[in-house]
Amino acid sequence: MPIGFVWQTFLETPLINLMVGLSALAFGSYGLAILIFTVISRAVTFPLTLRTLHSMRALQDAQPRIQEIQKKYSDPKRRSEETMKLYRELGVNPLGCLGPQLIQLPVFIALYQVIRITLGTTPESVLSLSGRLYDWDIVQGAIPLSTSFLILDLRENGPLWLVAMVFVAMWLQQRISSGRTRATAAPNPQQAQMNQMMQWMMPAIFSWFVFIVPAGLGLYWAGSTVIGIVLQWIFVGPGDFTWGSLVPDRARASLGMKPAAPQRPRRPREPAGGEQTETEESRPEAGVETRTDHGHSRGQRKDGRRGRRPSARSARSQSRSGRRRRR
Amino acid sequence: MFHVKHRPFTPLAVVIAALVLATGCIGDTFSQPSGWASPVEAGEVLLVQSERGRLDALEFTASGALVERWHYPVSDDQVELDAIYATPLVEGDVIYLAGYSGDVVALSLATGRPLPAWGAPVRLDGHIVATPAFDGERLYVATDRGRVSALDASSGRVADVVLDAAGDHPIWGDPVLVGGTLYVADIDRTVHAIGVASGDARWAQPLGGGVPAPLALDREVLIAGSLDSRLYALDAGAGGSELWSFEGDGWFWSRPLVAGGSIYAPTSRGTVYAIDRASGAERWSFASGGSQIRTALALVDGVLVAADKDGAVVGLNPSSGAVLWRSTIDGDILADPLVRGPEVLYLTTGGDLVRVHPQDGRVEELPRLAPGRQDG
Repeated sequence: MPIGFVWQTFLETPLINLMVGLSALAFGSYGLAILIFTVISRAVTFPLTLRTLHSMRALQDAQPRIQEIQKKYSDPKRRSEETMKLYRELGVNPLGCLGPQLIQLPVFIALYQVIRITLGTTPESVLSLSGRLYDWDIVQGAIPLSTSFLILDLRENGPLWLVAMVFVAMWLQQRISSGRTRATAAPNPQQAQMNQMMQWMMPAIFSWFVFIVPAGLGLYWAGSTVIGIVLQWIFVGPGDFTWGSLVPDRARASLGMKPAAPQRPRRPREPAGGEQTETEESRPEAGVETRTDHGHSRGQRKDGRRGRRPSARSARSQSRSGRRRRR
Repeated sequence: MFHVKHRPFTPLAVVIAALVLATGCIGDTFSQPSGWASPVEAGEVLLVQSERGRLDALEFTASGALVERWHYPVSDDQVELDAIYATPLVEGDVIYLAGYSGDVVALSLATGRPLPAWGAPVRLDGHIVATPAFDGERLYVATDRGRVSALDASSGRVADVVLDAAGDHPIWGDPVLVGGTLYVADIDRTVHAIGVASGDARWAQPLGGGVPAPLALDREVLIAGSLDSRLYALDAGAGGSELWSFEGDGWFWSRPLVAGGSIYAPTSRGTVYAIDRASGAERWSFASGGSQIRTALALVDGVLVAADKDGAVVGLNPSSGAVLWRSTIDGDILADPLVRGPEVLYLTTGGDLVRVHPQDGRVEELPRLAPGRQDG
């Protein structure tokens, strides 16, 4: 079966009808239909999103141990094996760091095609739509679709304010995602530079796409990113991110504010019974190298699930020994 | 095995590659307009859109081949029509041409050059799909911005705006001008009747669906095909009140054909209906099983000829709907046909002219010679 046929029959055409149907239900507003669809798509992909978020967090927590491995083993093959072993031990997938945005990519792709088809302005594009609609009154009667939403023309390229909104939202999402990594791992300068680049490049790339694709797609991406931030905040937490950290130190100084506190690492805590199982955040003094162990707060496992992993103890013991060496 | 060295550019590359693959040619976000202007016979030449946004004047050679006499625009004209949907209007030795770009121009039929009195093409705000109406002095040009402008035919000056339905109300269907009243329908589900002398709105009738199709007026009955799969008959003399509506199996996007007390109308699902003009009852229907029919039906010598988008042509008995013959044209058909004596000419989207003989369904492509060449 040709892939084009499968794509059209099982994804594109149903999505066209869904969007047209949602538009009819949303009082003829295609923009509102896009936002409703955004919520639906995020809800459908939520389990996957959650898994990715937890995986991402676990990876962030494992950064110091990865650093240790990299220092300890000079042979790349051995280093790779040891790191994979660590991943297995922690139960995380290294590709989880691709981020929640990637989950949305297939939807983004399909929606791009659907918007292109449904919001075509030429007579040919509307005529061709007739062959894609199901014989349902709700979709047949919804044509023509309204192409304006608030001050947006959904067919035109994304306006600058939408581009800016997407950039800020994605930057914030990246910042929240990567904050703990940057703080805890004390990565080498090259790594830090790369992290910093990712922080800016991903928002920049997607903002550029929002600028050159129809605004309807930008609306979806903006809504999806905002929902992603909310989900991340609720289910994974902000990590070491604080709103105050967004204010640059120079601006703080000029405003007479205290310097931004370094990212708060997690410090081990000896629970009752002597077994080290939990950690909590602590604030080191400014200028002191930030370190952390790799624990999770309040009974959360390193793979993001609740409860205690069977291998947790051995993982922690490695962690402790690593810290002692650095000290 | 994963390479665990940090490679932040890998996910970045994945994202970029996926986006580029997904969006393909970003510049071509929406489909380009192609235009479906009907061929027109004007004296010795046929006016056809052979290429997107270009009008060719073709004349027959002794052997029956076609050769170009002129085309418009040429490179010196510095105008881009984008595409031509509106059928060129021929009045005497002047051609009024409206392009999708919003440009309206008056050309000499003999030379294809713009009339000096008009000068440069008149640029209207919006795209032009509907064929303008003409009352001998003024052209009434509708755009997809819901506006109908009256242009002075001698100078091209915009003399008046007779309808300004601000907002998203594209007008795609050809308006009809009869007795000083302009009937025009928009995609936003309204039919308007406007007195062109005064610019007064005589009436406005909301319908259940948008009207992309050209209107047809038969005496006082205004026929409008709609996107809600209905064909509406309105009483033009009584405020546009609905006389009846007929529900088909798809959109009515074609110019309705009124003949012998019947209205013939095809749908986007490839079905041809014969409807009683007085009552709106179905007389017969023919489901071609093919693709959508956008092009108007042609009734020639007692044969109803219908062509679908994919080039499947069928000859029907207009009384019963019985199939008389079937043929195939090599190409897509969206333009209305030109009935030329005992034959029907179809223009394919590729710019080829095809002759169909209604009596037996024979199909012949009209050969075309390179410009300047003659037979032999």
